[in-house]
Amino acid sequence: MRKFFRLMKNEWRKQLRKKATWVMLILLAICAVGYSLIVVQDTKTRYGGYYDYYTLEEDCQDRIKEYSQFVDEVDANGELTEFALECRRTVEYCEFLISIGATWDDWRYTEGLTDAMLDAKGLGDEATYLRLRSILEEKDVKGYFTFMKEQAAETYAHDPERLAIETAHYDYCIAHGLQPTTRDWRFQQISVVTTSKSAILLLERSRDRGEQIDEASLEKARNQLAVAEYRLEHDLETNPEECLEAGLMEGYSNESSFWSAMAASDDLVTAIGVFLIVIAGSIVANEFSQGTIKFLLINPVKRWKLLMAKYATVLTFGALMTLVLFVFSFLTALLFGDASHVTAPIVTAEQGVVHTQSPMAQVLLQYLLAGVEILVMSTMAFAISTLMRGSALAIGISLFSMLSGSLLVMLLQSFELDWGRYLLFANLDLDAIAQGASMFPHHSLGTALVIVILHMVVFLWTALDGFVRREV
Amino acid sequence: MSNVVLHIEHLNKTLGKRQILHDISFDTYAGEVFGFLGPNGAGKTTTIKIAAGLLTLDEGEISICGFDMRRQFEQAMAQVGGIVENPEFYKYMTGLENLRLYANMREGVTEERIREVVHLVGLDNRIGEKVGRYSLGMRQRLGVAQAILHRPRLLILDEPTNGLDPAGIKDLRDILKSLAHEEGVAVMVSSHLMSEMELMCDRVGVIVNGRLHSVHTIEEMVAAAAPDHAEYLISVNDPQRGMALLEGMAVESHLTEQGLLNVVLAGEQVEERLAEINRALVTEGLSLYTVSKKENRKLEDVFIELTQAEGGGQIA
Repeated sequence: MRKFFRLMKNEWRKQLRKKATWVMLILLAICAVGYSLIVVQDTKTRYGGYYDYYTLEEDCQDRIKEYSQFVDEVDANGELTEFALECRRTVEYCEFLISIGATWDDWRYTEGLTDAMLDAKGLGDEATYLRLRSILEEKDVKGYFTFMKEQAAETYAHDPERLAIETAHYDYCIAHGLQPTTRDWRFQQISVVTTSKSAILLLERSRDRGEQIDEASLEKARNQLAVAEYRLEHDLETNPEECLEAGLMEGYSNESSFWSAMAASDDLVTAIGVFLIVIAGSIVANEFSQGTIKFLLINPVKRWKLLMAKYATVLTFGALMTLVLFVFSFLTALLFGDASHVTAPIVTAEQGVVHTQSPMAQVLLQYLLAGVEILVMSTMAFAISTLMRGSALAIGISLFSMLSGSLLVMLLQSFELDWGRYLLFANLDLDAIAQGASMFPHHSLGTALVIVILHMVVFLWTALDGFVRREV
Repeated sequence: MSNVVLHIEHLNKTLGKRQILHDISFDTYAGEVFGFLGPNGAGKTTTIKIAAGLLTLDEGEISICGFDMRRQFEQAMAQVGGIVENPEFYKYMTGLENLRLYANMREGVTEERIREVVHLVGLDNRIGEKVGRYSLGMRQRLGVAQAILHRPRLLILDEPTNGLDPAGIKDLRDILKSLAHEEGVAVMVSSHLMSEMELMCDRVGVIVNGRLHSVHTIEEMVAAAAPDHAEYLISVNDPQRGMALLEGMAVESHLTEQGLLNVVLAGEQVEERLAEINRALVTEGLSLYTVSKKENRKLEDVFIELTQAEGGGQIA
């Protein structure tokens, strides 16, 4: 084993003395920093200032302009049409929003409340109309929640259990001075608590009546309730889970630039793949093209050991590049993103019991799953280059396979050729397969792993056999 | 001679459809420089590659210091150092870094040993330079350093004088001789130049068309080349008249293309008879310009004779 490590040390020395190696590492670091910066910046602008480009007032004026054309539309009887009435109402609503100076950032553009006000006006309920108008004009949050609580009391007068849930909701909002908008994370969470509780109540009632209910929905509601309550109790504003689920390109408003950047950084594993294929495809072939192979093989070392030392060097180099990617992404996200979110846990619940987990484990798992593809592709490059004694073809074939293998699978799938599922390329996206998002039905992770491992064995065995028998 | 280092027995090798080696058997011993001599394409390099573990053997047996090449590869190869074909190194690394790579793959090579070997091959001043900037001769020296780094019992060098300057060739000769004669290493050197072998080797094996023709000591070769007659070249102003005179004297002679009289004298009192011829020429009234002794038949000629007899000079 000591001897094997000395062989690996030699291979590492050879790699590190090449300029190309350092160029790759530096490029990777630059990519990591750049990509993280883009994600951080993107998340920040989307969250903070997306609507700055188009204010609520501009939006209202545009709508007034558009709907004003139809406010006098009449039907055959000379009466205003339904559509005209709707337009009148929209115009009135927009004019009101402008008059109270509402913005996207406050809660008052919520249509429900203004609707209620306009309804009251239409019904001639002067007291309610004035009360609501004053709430909206004064930005009276407490007044708003009190009004809503009164409404709930009326609605659920016959259902004290339900009423208790609703009352608790508004009391909490008033007590904590919440804003009734999804921008207030506590309001968001307490809303989840309230809807979950109501759902549980209704489901349990159905069950008590002896009806068939969806146990899964009940379970889901209970878990949602547990998570939301836990987050409120422990003051956990950041939800890294959302960042991990939504990638950069999905246009989802992530809350944490730090976790968004970390979650996106595994996209660059493909870049590592390109570099690693180049290294794997040349580490043996270069010895042949430089003529140094004879001086390597004349040593008292069995050939399979030499080859395995080279393969181990490729693997450890891949690990080093992954580490570089991770560290540089992490530092960039930490320096430019929301550093305070580092400790935010992912909260999950199972059967009503809450578990917390660091999102970092999730990020690392993503790296690992993305790493499988580049591992297989660089092993392929390694095997081909060992057999052909040349690097160009091996690197070409492997890069091409990595970049367009999925296209081939899509093509087969579109012709409904089901055997496509046994192709290597159809089994490399373990993440998607694990989530059941494979293009082929009933595609299990186990099958995918077996196919991947079989290919690896074939690649390595061919390389070993070819290298050991090679006449130099 | 008892200390067999390299033992080759009934070696056969086919590459593609062509049989390169036919039933080669020979031994090399500790403390000798063994020359492996043959024309281009005779199978020298193939034999050496098999002994260096680069090619597999089809049939036969090779052992190094008693270790079988196939069954005890690592032990056998631990006794071997060598240069096969051109000395190639990692050009982007320095000479010293290259040597350290080899030290890592072998047992018991210390940093002092590396320095000692570098000094021995005369690369002290250039060892810190990248090999990419080395000349062929310097790479050859580095190759020798690499080969002897781990004090091998068998040193295999494939045409080691390629690219060396005359001083380099002499240095290498001295190094190889001292390794063999003082440290007891078995040195095996291949070449197609007999003159080189003559100066370096103790024994020579001649390989022709994949068959080992014969193994001789250098003394035997020299004896084979030693003449039983002497030849002289005589330059006169009128070669035709000179020839006529010589024929009259019953001397074995002929006229060379350059117009010189080539006189062949055998037996006793060669100098006396030459003096007689000279006198006769002068008496005849010819101007005698020079008389020179023709070079002996060289080992080279012996070698060519040996190899021509087998293959007719065609690349097999």
